[in-house]
Amino acid sequence: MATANQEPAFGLRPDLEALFRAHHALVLQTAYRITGSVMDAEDVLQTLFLRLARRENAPDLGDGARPYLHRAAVNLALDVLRNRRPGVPLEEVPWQSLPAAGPEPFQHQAQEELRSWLRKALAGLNPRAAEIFTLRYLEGHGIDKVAKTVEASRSTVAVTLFRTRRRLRQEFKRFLGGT
Amino acid sequence: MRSKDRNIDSRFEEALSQLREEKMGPAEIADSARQVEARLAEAFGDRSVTAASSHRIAGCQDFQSLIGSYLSGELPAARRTLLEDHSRDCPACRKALWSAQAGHPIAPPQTASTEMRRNAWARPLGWAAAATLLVAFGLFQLGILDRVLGPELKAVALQGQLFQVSDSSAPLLVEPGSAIHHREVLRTSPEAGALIELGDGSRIEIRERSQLSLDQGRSGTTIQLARGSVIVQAAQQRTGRLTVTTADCLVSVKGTVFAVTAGARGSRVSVIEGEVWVDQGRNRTVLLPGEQLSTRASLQAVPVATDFAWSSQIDQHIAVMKQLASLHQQFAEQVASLGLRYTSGLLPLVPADTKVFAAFPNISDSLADAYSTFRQKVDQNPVLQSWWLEHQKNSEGGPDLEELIARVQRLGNYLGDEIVLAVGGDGGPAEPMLLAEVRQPEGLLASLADDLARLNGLSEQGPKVLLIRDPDLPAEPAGAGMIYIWVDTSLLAVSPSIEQLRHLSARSRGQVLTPPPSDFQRQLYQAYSEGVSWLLAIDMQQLQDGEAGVASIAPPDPMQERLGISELRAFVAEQKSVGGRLQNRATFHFSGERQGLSSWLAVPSPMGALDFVTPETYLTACLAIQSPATVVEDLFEHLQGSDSEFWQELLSFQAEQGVDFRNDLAAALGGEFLFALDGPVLPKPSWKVVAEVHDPVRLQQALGRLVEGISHKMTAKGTSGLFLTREETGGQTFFKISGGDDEKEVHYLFHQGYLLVASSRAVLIQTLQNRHAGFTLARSPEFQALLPADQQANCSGLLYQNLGSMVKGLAGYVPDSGRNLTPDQAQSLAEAVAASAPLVLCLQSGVDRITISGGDMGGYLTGLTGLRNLSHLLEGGFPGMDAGDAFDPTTR
Repeated sequence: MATANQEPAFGLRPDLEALFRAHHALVLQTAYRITGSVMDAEDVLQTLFLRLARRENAPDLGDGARPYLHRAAVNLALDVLRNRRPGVPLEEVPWQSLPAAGPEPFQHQAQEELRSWLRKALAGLNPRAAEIFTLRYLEGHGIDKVAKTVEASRSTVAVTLFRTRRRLRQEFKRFLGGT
Repeated sequence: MRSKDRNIDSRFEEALSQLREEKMGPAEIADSARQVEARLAEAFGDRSVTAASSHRIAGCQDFQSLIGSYLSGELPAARRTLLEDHSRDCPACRKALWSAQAGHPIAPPQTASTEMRRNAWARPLGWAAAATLLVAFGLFQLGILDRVLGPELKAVALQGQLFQVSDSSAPLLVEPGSAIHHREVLRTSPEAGALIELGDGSRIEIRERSQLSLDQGRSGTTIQLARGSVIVQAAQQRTGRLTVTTADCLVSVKGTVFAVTAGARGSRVSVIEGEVWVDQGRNRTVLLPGEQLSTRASLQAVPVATDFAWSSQIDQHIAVMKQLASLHQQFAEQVASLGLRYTSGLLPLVPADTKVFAAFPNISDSLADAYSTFRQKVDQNPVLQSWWLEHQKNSEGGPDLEELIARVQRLGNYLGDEIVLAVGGDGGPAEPMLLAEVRQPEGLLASLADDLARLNGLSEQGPKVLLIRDPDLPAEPAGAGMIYIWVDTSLLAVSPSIEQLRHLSARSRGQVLTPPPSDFQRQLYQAYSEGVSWLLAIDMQQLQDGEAGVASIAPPDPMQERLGISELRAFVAEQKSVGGRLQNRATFHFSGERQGLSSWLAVPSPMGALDFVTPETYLTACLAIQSPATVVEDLFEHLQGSDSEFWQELLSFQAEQGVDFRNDLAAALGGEFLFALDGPVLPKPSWKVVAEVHDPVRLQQALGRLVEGISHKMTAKGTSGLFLTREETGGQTFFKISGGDDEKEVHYLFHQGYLLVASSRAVLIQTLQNRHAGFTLARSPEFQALLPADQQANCSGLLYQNLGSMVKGLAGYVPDSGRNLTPDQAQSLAEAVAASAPLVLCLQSGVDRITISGGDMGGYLTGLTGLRNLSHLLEGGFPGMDAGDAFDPTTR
């Protein structure tokens, strides 16, 4: 089978194939970070390119392809989180994340619970707030870059981040058993 | 209250940080990209796939055009079988397939027209040849030619649920006791595996959901494994080899036990006994017991044990592994119990110009005792007994181990405590000579006469071995291709040179004046004065000077000078028992002060960097460097001379970025450097690097400029740049370098004169906590007890590996139940590995020497093999999982 670095042979238009080759890793990593599941990350990559391919007039992305695909990956991954059914089948447990840090199994379990909670909380946010929060705190963009990406003013982004963070923190406190 | 809020904030930040740090590995990304490509191809109806599966196959050209689809797994089953069959018999297509599997681009198939252009006049001959080949091919496809020319397949189904499948009829159950026919496609049910026995006694255990066929050719039996797993217990093949072929490799053996798994992602071969050849394209890999090979990187390794865990004989496999480890341990203990030798009656008898000297104890009794205990254990354990009988059956025709050991023991009983091998020439060409003291010359002569009669009768080709009573007698025949054994009243000597034996005879009778000992011999006497058990010494000076002594006029080799080995005078390696423990030591002696690379090593120092490693580390390497600035100077000097272009680039980079590698980076560092794998083993080992720092401020400034410069260069090349970020937490400053297209991250901090770099911030924090709590390797009593017993309190370098620690780290991930390997079996396997001792190697440098010393490395190596089995078992998922599913969340 053709790998991501070899000549394309899977039916996409040449311009989309080139985009796929150049940016599949970015899309997969972004989606994986948000969803915590390789399968979901693959679904995001597939959905993104299917949608692009089915557009009659594909956007001319030019130099902006990378940020465009990045943002699309963030939003598609957040969609996946929102549509996620409660409970994850055993075979979908992200094994590689189990022993992320700390030597004891119970610590791994606790950390996994925290990550799972955070993902659920992201899924419960207003989509725009979720996008801004994800770009800033998971993808590590600066406020100016986030503002440019979501086409909003710097102050709007800053206020959204403040409110979202405050809300998440309060929910987190409740999750941990506080008041 | 504030404290509680801080705790919530901290945990919230931690959760965010963990999400940020979650990443897919490069192999996972490649696998996922392939999965998505396949799905997109399906969605868009890839024309290449359709074409590959629809056109008519008319010859090699068409077969070769299918290779791409075959390798991608897109070829329909029927065409896949056709291509596999054809490429097995057609060298050109097989070569094309192997080349494609090895990653080379698929060459366009040769067309008839290109063939004709190359050799137009040969067209009639070509047609005749083609017709012949076509007929032969047709006959072969029908199985007629092969049956006429090759032997008949003899195979019978022994047990299990085995079905014969075909396109034309429903699967047909193959009853136990039924014969298996040539190229019958056989499949096991989803619930149970099956067992087949071949005519030569080889047994093929087939896992459930597997498919294969058997093919008998002139070169042996071939098992064509289409998918699934088999364990093959191959009987000793008298002619030819037993072969297993999969889509991307060919495994062949003469007689052994091995497992092959074939799936969509590639094939994996694991060996438990004997030697197995695995061919992939032009590459051949030889696998030995405990070794494993995966044909593709995306197919992760699993423990050898996992590949056998579904076997009905798993108890036997584990018992054998434990028994072999125990045998080694026992043998090592017996050898360790042999006393040290402080004098040698043989050393004065070796030639004055001896270049290589090896001395070892007479271990024939220990060997026989260890073997006897081993046999007792085999006799007491029914599982081992069955394995041993099978092993004996398979080894029929080979050397009889029992008889071999009896002969060694008998011979050893006539000899003294020491055996010496020396290579020297007494002025003539250097020849090897074996020396031993004799206790019972008459018994030895009788035993040797018997053995030699057999030995010389075995082959006409090899050298003739001649027993002589006196080398000075002119009647003794001389000539090339002879090996002489001289047995005197108290001495046994073996040599291919009669002249050498004559010199020896003169020395032993005191007929020549003994010259004063050379430097090399003095070193040997020095070694004996400290006690010797196993000793190997090489006079490097003599070896370098060569036979004609040309080195004295030849200019020194610049590379040797740079490495510092031009001044190497001698190498002495020893193994001996100190305080009941085996100790290994190797010393490089230099003719003066160490030069070049060897001079980088500092004199033994306390190694404070070891305080950043816990006693649970499974690998730690630490080195003390005299002066990092000098190292950089030496490297720069080498660069200047060898790669002037790179040197100029480096100079301009330094000038542009304002970073001076020598003064800003190297000079800011101290002498200690440490690398360790310490912390969680899975999914990726936690690593750390520790370096002593004299000037952290200067180093951090230089690192900042360096990151900026590298980032600038990366972005200029179109790749993502690097970012250096800092964060203050709990009074400690954490730094992170991240970026690049693969978005890797490195975390570091400065702490009490050391730079600590690690794979994640969690590792950094854990390291500081452990250091504060005193939970460190340097303070561990177990580690202290392992250090070699010598007069040095410190060392210049250290290598520590603890397999048991790794087992402990992995143990939490062993499933309790519900898998094919029972908890008892998993426990047995873990015990077998954990029984192996940790390895400690210490490096000590003196003015004119470097010494490496350590404990019993044999036990460590045995454990390493066992660990490979266990660690793969654990990290590769669990027994019962399909091959390649290990830690691969893409599996659905």
